[in-house]
Amino acid sequence: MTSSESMVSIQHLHKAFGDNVVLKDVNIEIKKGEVVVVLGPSGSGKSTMLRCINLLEKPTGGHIFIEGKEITDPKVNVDKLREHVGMVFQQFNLFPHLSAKKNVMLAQRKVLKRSKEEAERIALEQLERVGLAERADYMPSQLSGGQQQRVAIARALAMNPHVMLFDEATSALDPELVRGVLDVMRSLAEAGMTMVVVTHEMGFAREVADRVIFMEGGVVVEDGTPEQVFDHPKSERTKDFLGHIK
Amino acid sequence: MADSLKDVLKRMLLTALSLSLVITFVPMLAGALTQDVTTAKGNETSTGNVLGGMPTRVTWESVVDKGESVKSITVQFPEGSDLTSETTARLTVLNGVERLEVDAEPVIDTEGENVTVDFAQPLEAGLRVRIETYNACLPNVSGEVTLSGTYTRDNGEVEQLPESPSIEVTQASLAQKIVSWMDEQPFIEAWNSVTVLRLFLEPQLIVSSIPTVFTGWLISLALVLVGFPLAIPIGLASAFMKISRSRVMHVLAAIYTGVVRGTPLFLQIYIAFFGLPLMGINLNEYLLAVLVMAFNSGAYMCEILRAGIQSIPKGQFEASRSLGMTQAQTMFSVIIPQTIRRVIPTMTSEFILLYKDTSLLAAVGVMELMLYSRSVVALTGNMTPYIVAAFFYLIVTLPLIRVVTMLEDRLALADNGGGAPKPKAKRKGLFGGAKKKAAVAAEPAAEGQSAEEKGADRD
Repeated sequence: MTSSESMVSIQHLHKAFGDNVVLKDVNIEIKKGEVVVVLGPSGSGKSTMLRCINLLEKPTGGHIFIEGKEITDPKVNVDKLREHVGMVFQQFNLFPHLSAKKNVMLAQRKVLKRSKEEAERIALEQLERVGLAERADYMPSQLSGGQQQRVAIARALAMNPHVMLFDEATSALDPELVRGVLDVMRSLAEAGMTMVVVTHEMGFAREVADRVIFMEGGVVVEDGTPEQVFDHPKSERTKDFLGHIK
Repeated sequence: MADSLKDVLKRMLLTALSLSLVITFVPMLAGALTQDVTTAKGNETSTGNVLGGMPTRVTWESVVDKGESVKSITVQFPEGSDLTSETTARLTVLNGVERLEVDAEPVIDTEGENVTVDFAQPLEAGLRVRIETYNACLPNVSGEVTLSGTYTRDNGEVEQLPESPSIEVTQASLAQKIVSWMDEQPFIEAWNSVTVLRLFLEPQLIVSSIPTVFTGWLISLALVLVGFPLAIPIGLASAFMKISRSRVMHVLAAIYTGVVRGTPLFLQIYIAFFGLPLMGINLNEYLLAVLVMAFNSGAYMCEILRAGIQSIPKGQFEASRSLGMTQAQTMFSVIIPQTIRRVIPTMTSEFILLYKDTSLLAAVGVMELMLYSRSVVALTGNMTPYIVAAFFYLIVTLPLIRVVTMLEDRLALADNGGGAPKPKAKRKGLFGGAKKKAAVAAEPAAEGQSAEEKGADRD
């Protein structure tokens, strides 16, 4: 597979909640293996855009293709699509009634129909990957926020996703716990995972991102390499925003 | 020829047989004593029945026949009887209505379970002999028992006494034994002399009504233990209907819960028990009872479960769906397990309510705890069986109310992030001496509330 192959293609995406238009004609191309960081002030529509990619939000207009398949086609099997799109949430959303290991095993068993042994083996593998193998039998309530988020990442990875979506994955964490999660995300990027990351972590964006997208008012304002966006922003709004963040 | 010979032989055989029968029985039929009276005094207070295995007074009376004289009589109690050192016997000899002084003392054989009287002067014909045995225990069986024995003629011949009239004996239960022991106790008599105590807490009636009320308790418990689990799928299905996007489903579930929760269970029971037979549907009353209870409780559970499901954060749905799980998989693997944890306290309260509401079935004649206790009340005109019934309701509800409180506390703790528990004792300590007592006293009242609150919207 070449790196020029398209992973996610967002064309003229439009989303409105009633009269409130959140996304206006958003066009984004993401290639296989690319790490795209999406920045923007709150209310800019970046999270909604991300949630449209796995149809947690239903677009009100436009088209989205994943690996060339149109997912906005009403006939598409949404559950099948989501198997290949992993998502990590701001609030972790671990299943509180299941241990870390069982959190990672559940969808493997139910969706991929893996045997218990295989699911367990893969769960332990993925927990190892995020550095939590020894916490496999802990309940989510016994884990710190950072650990919970890493379990959530392992849970998504166990499904062999083709693309991972991170929705402000570190925003709910105490500062000292952010690092562990970012380290996992960085190693994931280095392993060649296609990632769309909505974050406020500028350092991470600059260091890890192949591309940075800046959104504002439901439209893409900047789309370029980290150097382009951070050092030579085209719009005043981007400059202003980056100035505030720094 | 051969046939007639056979006939003759047969006839001869029959004659010989009947002759031998007459020979055997004639002396007995012409006995020297005519058995007249055999009675036992009732030793059960409420019914006057003769209970086996418990002390009673047994009276045996016979008349000496013409041309006979009797030197000695032994009255043999039936097998299983018990004559003890407490047992006494009294002899009376009557000539018509005149009482004769005789030189004889009844001797009690506690091993052989019989009473023997030897007369210094043989009793003459026409005399009536009465032997009363006090504190004798007849066999503890249900059925008829008879006394047997022997008598000795003046000439030393020993004859069997003819079979006595039978005594109807009822087998005494443990409760009956306790009751008759209680009847003897002065402190219980003192207790019962207080009208309020006797009317509401008569010890004998407590003991004697327990077996009956216990039966009712088992039935009430069975009704709720079958009805409650049956209501869960009804509640779950209607909860799904209520949160479903289908308008029709939602409306159907809303009508169901609205009508059931908006009308008294009492009315629903009446409609089911009198309406269905009118339509020609005749179900077993216990089956119908269970169905009505489940139908009613299902509506409450619908609301409990719906609220429970909707209390699960949206993120749980999203996380589950984003992993590719279907709506059904999400519901049953992620949402419902979490819901169960949250609704257990309310569901337990619902169980308590349903258990108490089985009492309403008494109105349509379903034999359960309430009706069983009422049957004893009707028989005795005493409130005590109702108090016993209250006890049987409480032994189920009080521990469950406690459990509800515990679970609610734990749930509140979990919702607060599972931090260190705030010990109750410490909080009480802040009030200091006098208020501490008030706080303790107020607690059971507060406990009762959680279940009662829900009861308020029920009727």
